[in-house]
Amino acid sequence: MSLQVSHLTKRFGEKTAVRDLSFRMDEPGIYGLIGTNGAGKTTTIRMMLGILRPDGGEATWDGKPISRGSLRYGYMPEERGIYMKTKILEQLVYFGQLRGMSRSAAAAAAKKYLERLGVTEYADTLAEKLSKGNQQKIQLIATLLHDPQLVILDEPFSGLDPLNTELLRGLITELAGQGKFIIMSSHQMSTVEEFCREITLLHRGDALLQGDLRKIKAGYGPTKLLLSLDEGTLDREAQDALAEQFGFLPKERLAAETVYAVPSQGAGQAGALLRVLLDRGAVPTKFELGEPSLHEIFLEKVGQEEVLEAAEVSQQKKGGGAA
Amino acid sequence: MNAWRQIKTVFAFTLRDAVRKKAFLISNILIMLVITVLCLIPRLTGGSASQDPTQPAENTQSGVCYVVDQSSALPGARDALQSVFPSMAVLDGTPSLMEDYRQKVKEDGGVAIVLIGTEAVPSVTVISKDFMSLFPADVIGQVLNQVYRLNALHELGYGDDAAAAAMTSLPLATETAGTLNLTNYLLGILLMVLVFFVVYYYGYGVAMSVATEKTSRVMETLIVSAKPSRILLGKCLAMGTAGLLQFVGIMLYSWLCTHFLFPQGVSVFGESLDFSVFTLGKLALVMVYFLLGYAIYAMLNSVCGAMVSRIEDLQSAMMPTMLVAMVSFYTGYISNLVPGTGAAVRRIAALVPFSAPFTVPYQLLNGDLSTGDILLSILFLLLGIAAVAFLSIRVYAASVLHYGSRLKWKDLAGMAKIKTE
Repeated sequence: MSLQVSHLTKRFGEKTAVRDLSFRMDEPGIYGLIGTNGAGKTTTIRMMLGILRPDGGEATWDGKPISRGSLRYGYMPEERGIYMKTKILEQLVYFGQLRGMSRSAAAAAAKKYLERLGVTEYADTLAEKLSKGNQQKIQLIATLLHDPQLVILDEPFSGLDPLNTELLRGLITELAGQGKFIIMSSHQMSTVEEFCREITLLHRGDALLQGDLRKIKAGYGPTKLLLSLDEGTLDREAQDALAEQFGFLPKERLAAETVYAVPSQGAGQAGALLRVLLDRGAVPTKFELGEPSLHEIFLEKVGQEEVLEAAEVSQQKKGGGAA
Repeated sequence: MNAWRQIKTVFAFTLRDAVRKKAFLISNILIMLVITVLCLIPRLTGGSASQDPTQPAENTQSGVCYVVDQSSALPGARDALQSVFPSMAVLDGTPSLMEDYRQKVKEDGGVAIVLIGTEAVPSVTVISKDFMSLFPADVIGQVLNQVYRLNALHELGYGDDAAAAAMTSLPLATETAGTLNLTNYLLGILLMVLVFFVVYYYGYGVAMSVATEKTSRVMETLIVSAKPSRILLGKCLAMGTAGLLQFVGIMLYSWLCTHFLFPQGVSVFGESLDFSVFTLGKLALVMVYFLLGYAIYAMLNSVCGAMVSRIEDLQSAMMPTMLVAMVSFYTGYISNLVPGTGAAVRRIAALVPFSAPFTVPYQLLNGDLSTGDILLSILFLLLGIAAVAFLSIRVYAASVLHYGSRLKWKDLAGMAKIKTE
């Protein structure tokens, strides 16, 4: 089984919502689709699922175009929607039946998931009486009820309290373990970083960054040094002064540690710095060369893009003025 | 997944939801109450058919009636009235006690005075508390007229047999050469209004249902489960069935009311209503027009529901459709009921798909619509429904996932060009 997205493009009037987007999933797991609001994530998902006609490109499952009939998929949209005036079990059975399940099979699957997510007691309750978090669980059950092969979760953790987040986290990991293909769309970088091996970073319809997250990070090399010394062994000013001698400039000061920016090609100086610190009698409790977080990569990429666009606009204005 | 199975699933869910709504129950109860009251009024006012004022058993008026014959001009008046109103205490009154009688009448709606004047041809005045007292003055008048004439004949020397022969009423019947009669006329108006009410109400229900699913974002979950065309068809069929159930329910309850409250038939303005003219064939045709009319308006209304992102915008989005419905209804109403409207206008109203559902049921009972015209009208309606459904499904599919500002009809025209699944 494989999912392939090839050259998807969608335009709404003058605006291009998604431009020539391609990626693929050849094995089960969780794929991250990240980007700011309006980046084109939801449009991409709608085109992938065949509910929005692309202006170009296609999405295929095992080489065949994806449609409601060709693939069992489950989609949890970002904007949650369930029938507020209908009892929970009744509407879950309805959603299951719409997906081709028999009434009894849909009811059995719904009850299983209600129990798994700890909301069995609400089976005969109107949806409007449930908390937002519990409504979200019901929406997730409606997504998974028919045992989909491809699961698409749009911002799955938004609005959940820590306990429910943990519950959902466990379920998503379990689904990935069961061999499901999962696409998780989010603008919460830490969530994607935790779950996804591969990602696509979308910005204004363009894929700014794509591929294996570990490789992407490795490509950046160490970009920061996290240093924390045992209290009383060396004061912070002296610590900073020593670090600067080796090219490490303080970037962020946290409660217990300082984050230094590692200059390009400067990671090799870390060993020298450590030796000097030890010679001065400092006792490091943390000395770690780190790769950039997805959040930092995102900010860098989107930031660069913004700068480039601003420059382009300015260039156009100048050109226009000259004309 | 099998298309019909999905349509059936949407149908069952929507129908269950529609008939469980408080609005459905309340409207049914209110309609039944109105029908009951409408049937009770003629019953209370003696509007049942075949009433002969000279037959005592037919008059069940109770209470007290003082007959004050000021100059004994109508001997036997009291006895005659008593025989016609056996449940009423008919008493001889004394002219000097008129003020006392008047006081009693003022205080009690069940008391009346029949005052016979002193003129050469005595006048008769029936005095009751107010118009709500409902003393049958016309019957009293007829009875006293007969007494007067009978007395006059006796005074002229005629014997009982000759007087009775002279007093015999001729059997009277009315007949019209045209097709319009009171039963068909009233039934036609009732059907016209009923079809409009149900088509409007359940068409609005479709718009509301679509708008609710869209604004509550359920649509996004639905649309990945079933094709928009199947959702729309299932929904329209369900609301149409709910409407049909109510329509049939209203007809059935009306029949039951008239059957049990007026076992001898109903008369309005003195004319008996004959429901046998409403044959099963005509009933079936009315149902066909109701369903086709509902279908064409439901499709239009579904687009209105899909246009809005907020329920508050639904009314204004429905204005154009409502305008079409109102104009169509009044076209049918005017062409059928306003005297002097030409046959050509009636025919056009019967053939145009939007006005046909409101026009034809009346014409089926009262007009001279040929079988050919009926078939042509149904054909045009079916073609109209196909065209509206084709466009509506496209617009619905393209607009249900549109959020933000309300779509304009110009945007919808663009959407109608987009091919859907």
